[in-house]
Amino acid sequence: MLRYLCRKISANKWNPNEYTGDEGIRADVLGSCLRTADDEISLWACDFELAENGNLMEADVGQVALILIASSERIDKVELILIAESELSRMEIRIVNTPQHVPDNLKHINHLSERHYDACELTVEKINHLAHYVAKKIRLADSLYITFSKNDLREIVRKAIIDGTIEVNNLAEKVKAEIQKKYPEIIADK
Amino acid sequence: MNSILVTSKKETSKLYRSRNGNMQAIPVRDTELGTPSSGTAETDEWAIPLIALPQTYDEQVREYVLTFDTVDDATTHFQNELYTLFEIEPVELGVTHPAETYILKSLQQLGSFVVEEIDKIWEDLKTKNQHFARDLILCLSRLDADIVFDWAYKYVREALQSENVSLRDAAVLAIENWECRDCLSDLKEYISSEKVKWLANYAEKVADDLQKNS
Repeated sequence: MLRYLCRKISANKWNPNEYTGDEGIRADVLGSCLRTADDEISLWACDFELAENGNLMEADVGQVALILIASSERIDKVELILIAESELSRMEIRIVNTPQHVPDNLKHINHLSERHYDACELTVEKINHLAHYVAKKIRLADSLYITFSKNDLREIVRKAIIDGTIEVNNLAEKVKAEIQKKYPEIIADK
Repeated sequence: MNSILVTSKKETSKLYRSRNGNMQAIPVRDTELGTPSSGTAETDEWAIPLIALPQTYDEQVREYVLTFDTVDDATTHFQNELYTLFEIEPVELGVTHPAETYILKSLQQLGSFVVEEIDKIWEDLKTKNQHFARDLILCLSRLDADIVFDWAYKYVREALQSENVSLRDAAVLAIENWECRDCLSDLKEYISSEKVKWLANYAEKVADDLQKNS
């Protein structure tokens, strides 16, 4: 089992443009995808199996998408970047399991809060390493950059409602309305 | 003939739209006013219920009757209000934005006047401020397709051809939000020319979803 840490990002902010050159990174990412507070950023853990051919077998990254949708006001595509725990160690980035830092609007999915980590004691140099890692993964459309479409997300939420992982009434109104529109029977049953 | 009721501290006017599409402000006496902020229900006069900026971020919005005298003033106000909303906070995925409500309410009350204004705004933004252009497309894409698709899809088509990645991304997202199966051929044509791999992959996923759901 390999542990990865996920961060929600917006890939369009990572594209090179006329003033960054091919390798450069826009400063805007520091205020959005890699915005720190108290020199920390939030990460969510997920585990992967390593297949015999050496490829990663997707395990539970959908659970991270679920967490993010459960705290969203509406369903929009979710883009995640996955960083191996070992890669974070190589960048000398310390991670700490911090379920107590889960935002209030996610308290209703308590059992998922164990997945919450903070990357701590970040410096400009460490963020720089992290930024280059993220940029590379996105620009190569690497398998560690994952996009969940609206359709994927609705399906994840549907399953989570059916298996009781989340309570439909705890979802934001617009999220609930979208699920209801797509799967009216699910909401009616609950 | 539709009219828009506007008030100012100096005088109150009705804006009339003539058949050739021009608008004209004609002063009216106080006794003709009735209740300015609820003009749509019982008369063909349309009060302009634009939304004041929220005093706080608690999404509390209130309606008021605008204070301007001419169509130019109305246009300036609508534009300014929209730009201010975009300036206060950019449109983020997963988060509702006050401009969605502002556009929707304005459309419900003013119909084609707002469509024409948004048209002008798009023409202005698509070259001068592509960040706001992206925000505009995202906000429109969050409104019911029945209300906006017919006139807003042309922005999406233009955005798909833009050199700006954020605009192209927003355009794909709009097609996804509207679940627009009629857009499939445009989307496929776009995918074949998209050089940015992550964006092409996302657009393919949206096209697959549209096909699956059709």
